[in-house]
Amino acid sequence: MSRLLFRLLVALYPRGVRRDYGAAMLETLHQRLAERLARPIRQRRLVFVIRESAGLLTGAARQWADALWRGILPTSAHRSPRIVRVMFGFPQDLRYAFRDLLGNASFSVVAIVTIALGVGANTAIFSVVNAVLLQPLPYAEPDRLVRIWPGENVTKALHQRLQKESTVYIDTTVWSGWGFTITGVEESESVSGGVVATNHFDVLGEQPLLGRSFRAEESIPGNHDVVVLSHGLWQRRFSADPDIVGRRVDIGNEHATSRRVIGVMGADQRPLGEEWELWTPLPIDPGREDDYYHSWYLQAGGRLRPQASVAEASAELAALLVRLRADERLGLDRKDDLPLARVVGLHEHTVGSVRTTLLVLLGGVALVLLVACTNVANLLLARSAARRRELAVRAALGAGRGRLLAQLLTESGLLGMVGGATGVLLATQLVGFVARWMQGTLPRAEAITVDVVVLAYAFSISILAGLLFGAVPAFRTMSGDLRESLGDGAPGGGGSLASMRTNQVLVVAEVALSCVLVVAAALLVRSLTQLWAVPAGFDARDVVTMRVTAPGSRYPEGPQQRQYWAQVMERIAAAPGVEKTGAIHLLPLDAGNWSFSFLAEGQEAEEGHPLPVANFRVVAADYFHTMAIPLVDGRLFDERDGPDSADVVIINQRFADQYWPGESAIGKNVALFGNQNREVVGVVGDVRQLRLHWPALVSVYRPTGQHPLASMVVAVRLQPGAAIAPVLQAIRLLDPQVPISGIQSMREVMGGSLGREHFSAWLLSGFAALALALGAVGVYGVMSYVVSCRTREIGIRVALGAPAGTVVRDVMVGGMGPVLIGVVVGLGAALLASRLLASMLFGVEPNDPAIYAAVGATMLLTALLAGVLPARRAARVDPIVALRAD
Amino acid sequence: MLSVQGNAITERSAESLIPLSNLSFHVLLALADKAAHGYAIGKEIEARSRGKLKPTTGALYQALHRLDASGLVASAGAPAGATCDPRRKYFCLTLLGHEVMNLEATRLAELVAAVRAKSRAPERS
Repeated sequence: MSRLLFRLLVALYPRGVRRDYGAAMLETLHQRLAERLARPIRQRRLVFVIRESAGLLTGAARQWADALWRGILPTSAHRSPRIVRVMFGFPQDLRYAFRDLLGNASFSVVAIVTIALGVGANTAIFSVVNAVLLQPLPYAEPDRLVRIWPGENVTKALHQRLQKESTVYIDTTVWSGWGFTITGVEESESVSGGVVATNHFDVLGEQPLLGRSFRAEESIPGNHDVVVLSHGLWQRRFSADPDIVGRRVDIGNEHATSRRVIGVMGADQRPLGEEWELWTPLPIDPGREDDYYHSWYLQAGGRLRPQASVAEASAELAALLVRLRADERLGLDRKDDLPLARVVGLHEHTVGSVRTTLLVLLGGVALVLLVACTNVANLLLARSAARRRELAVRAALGAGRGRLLAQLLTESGLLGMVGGATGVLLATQLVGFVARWMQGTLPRAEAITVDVVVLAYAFSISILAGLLFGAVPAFRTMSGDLRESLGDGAPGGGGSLASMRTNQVLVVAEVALSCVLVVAAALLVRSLTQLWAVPAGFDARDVVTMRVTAPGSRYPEGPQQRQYWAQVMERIAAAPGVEKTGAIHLLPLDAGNWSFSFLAEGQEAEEGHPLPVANFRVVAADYFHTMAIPLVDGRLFDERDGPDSADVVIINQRFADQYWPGESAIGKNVALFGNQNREVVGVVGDVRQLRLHWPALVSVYRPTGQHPLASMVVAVRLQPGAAIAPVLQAIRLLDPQVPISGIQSMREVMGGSLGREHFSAWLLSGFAALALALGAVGVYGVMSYVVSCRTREIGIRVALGAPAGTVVRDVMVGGMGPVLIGVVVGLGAALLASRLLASMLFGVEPNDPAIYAAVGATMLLTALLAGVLPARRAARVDPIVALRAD
Repeated sequence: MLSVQGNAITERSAESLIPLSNLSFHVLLALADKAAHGYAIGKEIEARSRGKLKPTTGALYQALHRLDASGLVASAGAPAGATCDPRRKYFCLTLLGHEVMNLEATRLAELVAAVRAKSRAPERS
C-alpha cells in the first residue's frame, strides 16, 4: 500500500527529474521501508510513511519551482493569456502553500486531521461499496449469469425440464450447499461444500487450476465419487500437494465415504458459495422418485444467450411453468408461489439485499465529510481576516484577482490532498477491520480492498473537499475592496461583520448535517435494541452450541446414528459443569431451515390448493430444557420414543392455536407430507426460528430416536463460570474421528443473525459521534471568533459596569442563534431523509417524536457546552486591554 | 555561467558555491571516500549526525539533484564488490565537489576558531 503511495508521489515530480532519479528514489524508499518493517515496533511505520510522503511532496514542489526558474517552462508567462499565467503560477502557489502549511502548524494539523477523518471514513465505506456493489462478479461475462427462481427451489426433475425446454439460455445449472466430513490422519473436521450439476463450472466459465472439472457421466450414481477442492482446503488440509489430482481422500457425506480428487480451484475462484471448500457432482437417478421429483432443495441458475435479456427469461419462465403444471409428477400444481417466479441477474441476486444498507452508510459517511469540510471552511474563514492584509499588499504590487484566488484555492487544495493522503492511510487500516467484521454477514466481503478505483475515488473527494471548503473563505476574502484592508483602522486580529455572518451560515449547515446523522444513528440503534428485546422464545444465557457430525464411514445408517447420539448425549450430560444438554439439527436464528408440508387432523386437502408448510426440526435428549423452551401441554420426548414405538411429534403453541383452537392438541394426528401420520404428544412454546423480527412459524419437532440424523448441533447449558473443555473432551473420548465445528455461545448465534443490523447501527453511530464532535468544535470556533470580534464592544460594556453574567448570557444567546436554526433545519431534513431508512427499521417509526426530541436536546446541549468556554472568556475581557487594542 | 553536461566539471569557481546547506555538506562528506547510493548516504548522514539529521528521501534527492546540477557530485557505476542493481543509482564526488567540501570545512573551522577566541576573551581581561 505505502509502495503504491510512494509511486504516485514520485510521479508528481517533473519528467526530467523522474527519469534521472525516479527509480533510485523508489529503491531507497523501499529499502528504508523494509528496514522499518524489520523493527519490532510497527506503529512507527505510519509516522515513517507520513514523513516520507511529506518529503516527497515538498521535494516535488521544489523541483517544479526549480524547473520553472531554470527556464524549462516559458519564463515569459506574464505575456501569455490569463489562464496560462494562472497555470504556470501553480508550482509557485504550491511552494507558497507548503510554506504556509508548515508555518501554521497547529492550524494545519487540525485541518488535516479533520479532513483525514472525513476522507478516511469515506474511502473505507466506498471500498466496501466498490467491492460489493460496483465490481462485476468474478466470472466470465458475469452480466449474462442469472438466477432462475421459480417461486422457490427446484427439484432435479423440474430443472431437467427447464433445461430442455428453455430457449434463452446457453446452459443452466443447479447447486446446493452440503456438509462434508474430512477424516484421515489429522483431526476430523466438517466443512461445507457444494453439490453441483456437472456442467456447473462450464456455465460459470470457471476452470480448475489443477486437473479438470466434472464430466457429464459423473452425475450417474456409482461414478459420482469425485471432488474438486478449493485452493484454501488444498493448501490447509493437503499441504498444497501438487500430485493431489487422482488421489483418493476421505471426504464423506451420505452419497459416498471417500472421493477421488479430480481438480483444485485457483485462489480467487469461488464458483457460487463464498464459504464452500469443495464441490462434488450432484447424483441424478430418475429411478429414486422421492429424491428426483419431491426434494425441493436445489437452486438454479444459467447463462443467457448473447441476445436474450433478463426480462425475456422471466417471461419465458412464467409461460413454461404454466405449461409444466400439466405434468402432475413435477408437483407444480401444489405450489402457490408460482406467481413469484422470475429470473434475476446473478449480481442483483447476490447483493440486492444489502444495497440499501450500503447506500445509507455511504450517504451517512458523505455527510461526515461535508461536516468536516464546513469545519475546515470555518477555520480558514477565521484566518482569512488576517490574510486580507497580506493579499491586499500583493494586489497592490500588481497581482491579479484570479492569481490571488488561485493561490488561496491551491492552499486549500493542498490541505485537501495532504488530509486525503492521511485519510487513505487511515482507510487501509480500517478496511481490513471492516472486511473481517463483515465476513459472513455481507456477500463478497472477501473482495473488500483498497484498489485503484478506491484510490481514484479518495483522490477525487480530497480535491473536491479542498475546493469545497476553500471556495467559501477564498471568495469571502477576495470580496469587497481589498485596498480597504490596508487602511489603518482595518480589522487585523478580529474579523468583519460579513465574514462573521458567513461563519454563522456555516454553523447552521454543520449543525443541520450532524443532526441528520445523529437522528439516523439513533433510529438504527433504537431498532437494534428493539430487536434484542424481542422474546426469542428461549433463554440464550450460559448456552454453548457446537455442530457434531458422525462421519458416514463409521455411522452409515439410522441405527448406528441413533446409538451414537444416545451415547454422546449421555457422556456430555455427565461432564463436569454441565447443567443440561440436548441437540437439534438446525439451531434457531442460525443459517438453514427445513420445512415440510403437512395435514393437521380435521383438515381436508383441497383440490388445487397446496398443503400448509411447517418448520421441521429433529431434537435429541433434553433440548427443550436446555434452551428453557417451556412445555405448554402434554410431555417432552423420552426413551419411550424409539424406532419400534408409535411415531410421535411435538408441536409449537402457534400450531395448536391455529389448527385446534380451544381444544387440546394432545393425541391428535399430524400427517407429514400429507400421508405419514404422527401423534402429537406435547406442545411447547413458540421459538423465532429464522429471524428475530419474523414471527414464530408453525413448527413440528421429531425425536432423533425415530428420525436419526448424522449431523446435529449440540446445545449445552453450563453452570455459570464452567468451562466448555470437558464437553469437547467427552465427545472426543467417545470417538476421536467425530469432528466438532462452529463452537459458539447462543448469544453469538443470535448476534450473528443480527450482523447486518449491528454493523449499520454501529457504523452510523460512529459517523454520528464524529459529526457531533466536529460540530461541537465548529461551534466552539465560531463562538471564540465572535468573542474576538466583539472584544472592543464587550470591553466598553464591562467598563460601563455590565455584570459578567449579562455579558456571558449575551454572547451565548448570540452564538446559539445559528445552532437553533441548524437544529430546526436538521430535524426537518432528518424527517425527510429517515424515510430512506424505513426498510431497515424494526419497532420504531422513522418519525419517532421521542428520538427527534432527544436528538434536538443533545445537539443544543453539546453546542451549549462548546460555547461556554468562549463566553466565559468574553466575561473576563479586561476593558483597558480591549480599548487599547487599536 | 552555469552549464552542466553529464559529469563535466564547469569552470565555475568553488568559492561561489559556499556556504553549503547543512544537508548538502553532509552529503558531500558521506561521498568523500567512496561512491554510494541514496539509501547508504541517508544511513551515513543519520549515523554521523547521531540521529539529529534524518533527511526524508525527497529532501535527500533534492540535495543530490542540486549538487549534481552544480557539478559537485556525479552519477557513478557500482563500486567494485557491490552487487550491480540497475535500480540503484550510485553517486560520487567530483573534483569540484572535493574542492567545495574542503573550502566549506575551512570556512566552518575559521568560524569555530573565531567563536573560541571570543569565548576565551573574558578570561584574559
